[in-house]
Amino acid sequence: MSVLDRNGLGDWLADHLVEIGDSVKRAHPASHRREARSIPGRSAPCRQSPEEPQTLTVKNSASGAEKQLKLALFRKAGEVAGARRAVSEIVKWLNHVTDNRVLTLSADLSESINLEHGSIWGHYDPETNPLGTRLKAAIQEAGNASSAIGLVGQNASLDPDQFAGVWAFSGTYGAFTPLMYLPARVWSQQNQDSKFRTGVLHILAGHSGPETAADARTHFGIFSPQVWKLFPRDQVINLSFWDYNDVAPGYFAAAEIAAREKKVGVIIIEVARPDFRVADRSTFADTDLRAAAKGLYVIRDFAPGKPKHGYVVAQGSSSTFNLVSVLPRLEQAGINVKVIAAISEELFDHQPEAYRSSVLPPGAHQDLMFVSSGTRRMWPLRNVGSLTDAYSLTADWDNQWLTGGLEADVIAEAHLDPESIFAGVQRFAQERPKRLDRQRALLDALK
Amino acid sequence: MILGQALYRKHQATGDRRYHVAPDVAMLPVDALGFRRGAGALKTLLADQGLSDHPLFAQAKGRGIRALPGHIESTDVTNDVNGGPSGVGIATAAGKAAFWDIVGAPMGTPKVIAFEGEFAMTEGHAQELKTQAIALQVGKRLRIFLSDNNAGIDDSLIGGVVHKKFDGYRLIDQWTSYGWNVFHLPDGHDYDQIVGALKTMEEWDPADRRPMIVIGTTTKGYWPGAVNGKIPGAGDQVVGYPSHPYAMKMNSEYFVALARTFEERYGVEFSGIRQERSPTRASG
Repeated sequence: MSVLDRNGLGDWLADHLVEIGDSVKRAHPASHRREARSIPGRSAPCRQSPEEPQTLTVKNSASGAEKQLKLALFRKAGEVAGARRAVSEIVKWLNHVTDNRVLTLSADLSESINLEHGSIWGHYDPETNPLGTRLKAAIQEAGNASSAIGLVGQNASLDPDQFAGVWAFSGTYGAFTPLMYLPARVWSQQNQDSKFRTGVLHILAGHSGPETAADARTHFGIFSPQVWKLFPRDQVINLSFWDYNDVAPGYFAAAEIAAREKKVGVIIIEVARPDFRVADRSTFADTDLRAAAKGLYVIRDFAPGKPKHGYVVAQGSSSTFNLVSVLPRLEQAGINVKVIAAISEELFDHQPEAYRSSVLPPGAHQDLMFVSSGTRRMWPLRNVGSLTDAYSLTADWDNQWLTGGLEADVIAEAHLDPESIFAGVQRFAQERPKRLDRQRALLDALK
Repeated sequence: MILGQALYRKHQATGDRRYHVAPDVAMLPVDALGFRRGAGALKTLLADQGLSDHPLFAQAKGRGIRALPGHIESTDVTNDVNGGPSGVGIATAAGKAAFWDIVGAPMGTPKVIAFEGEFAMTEGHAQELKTQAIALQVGKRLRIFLSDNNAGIDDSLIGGVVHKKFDGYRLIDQWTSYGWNVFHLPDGHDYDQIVGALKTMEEWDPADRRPMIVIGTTTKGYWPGAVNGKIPGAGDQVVGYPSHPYAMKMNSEYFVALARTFEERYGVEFSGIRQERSPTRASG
């Protein structure tokens, strides 16, 4: 470094750097978007998302055009609409309340995975439609995710603690989302260290689960979406929706956390393709329409005054839907289990201790089975008991890749059809004394 | 680090705040000790060696030594990506450029400038940038500098991984065929050519929505003190993939020969490089 002391080299360099620094303009760029009303999730507009269908009048601040915008964040029980169909509605609502700050890129699937209609003003074009939020994207999962990362990693605010940027969704089949994992992992590392507030990357694992039947096993999101757990805890929020009316409250709860807690750099949304009937929550133990915001909620509680047979935690579309469908039969058979929907462990972790204990009291993890369209390799909840695997119902129950076929065929092969679920829960309940005895014996053996 | 030192010494000499760089942001020569070292180890490194109060390490006072990752990260201040896995950093460049269009910044201000090598560019996510950037119509805001030295760690690209008989494998044609605005520097080490390219790009028509790339022919193992392919006093210059410091020992004979040409050019002397050191190894 002594070279810098010779011939004025160091002084020249320092002066030149200062000169360059002084030439940098510190003005905000002229914005196509209004000053941020808020970043998504931070403010009331998300919490107060309307429960009734809306027709809103929206105005394009660039062109001055007006149009009517239909929006349905929630649907009536019994309507036929899978969870995936709510994805466009949450994106649309976000764009409405943030003046088009939520961008989408998907791999030639924008319509199919329901990102298409999240855009109020259609395809973005830098010259002809700057307020468009649907970005042109090829079948390039890694590239699309990388571009989304590039978008959310920028901040136009001069104050590093303020965020003047965008959020972005990149979506594809759940089975193909591992192609997005590497850039997202590196993004998460960058987000952890960033001295500036940055945006949130959203990965939409659409058409996930064995329900992607006719496309066959190359397209099943059973193992693949589990890569989205491969992050340090609390740096991502995983959301697995089974019912249309879970999507808005679950997502907005996650968005609110991500907007508040800088370390959350990625939100993952997993939904399946089929259209199920919207659940009738009046029949649930937790009738709260926004119950998904709590991460886990109780579908059926233990019947009072009867012996308890254990906890059944459901995750995924067909798995949860079919489990709910056999609840009357299970009750008739005298099976007294507590049934819980697992939307997001991360959201559940954010609940008060009293709520968490009311849903899953201490010890429940040792008396629990899963019914999941995922795998037995990675459970929806951590720290579950040693016999969980022996009783749970998962799409990889026989450690084989499923074949393809009609949806009903594949779900039956996955043992997630109503008959298989009834039999599995019945076995779990009937063998409770044996299960608990075995666990006690395992512990006693350590003495 | 050199830029940081230039500002540091000027601030020390003048006290002028314009030269001050916050210690937690600055990269200083003392941070060379932090290269590929963990923050925990660096906390006690100087003390363990009895060097806490040594004047040569005064820059560490109060701020410590920064841990510098083995692959470039945004914590280095000098860039805006964590770029370790080949091409993963540049893959985000189209999105960064599009962001500034989306928020309405004038074309070309700010700019997104990305540097990459031809081998890292063969990575899938990096290849996808070609379509991403043209799809997003980022124009001259995105300017890529591709160093084409035809050398990786273990092999050459053309004439190595790709047999030289496939003469249709041409990088310039590849980018042109994706619709990019491509510039070529016959000698990527020539400052005049580089400045010329920068000026051309800066003055380019902002209405042209093609992203820009400058492909510079370079030499891995380039050394300005080489004369006709020889390093004075050391024999043949090592170029191409064999020049990767994968198996070179610390302060090896070849390294010292390179350093000697620098010493002779600037009339300085490196301390300690001629002492015996145990072998070390750098990864790719």
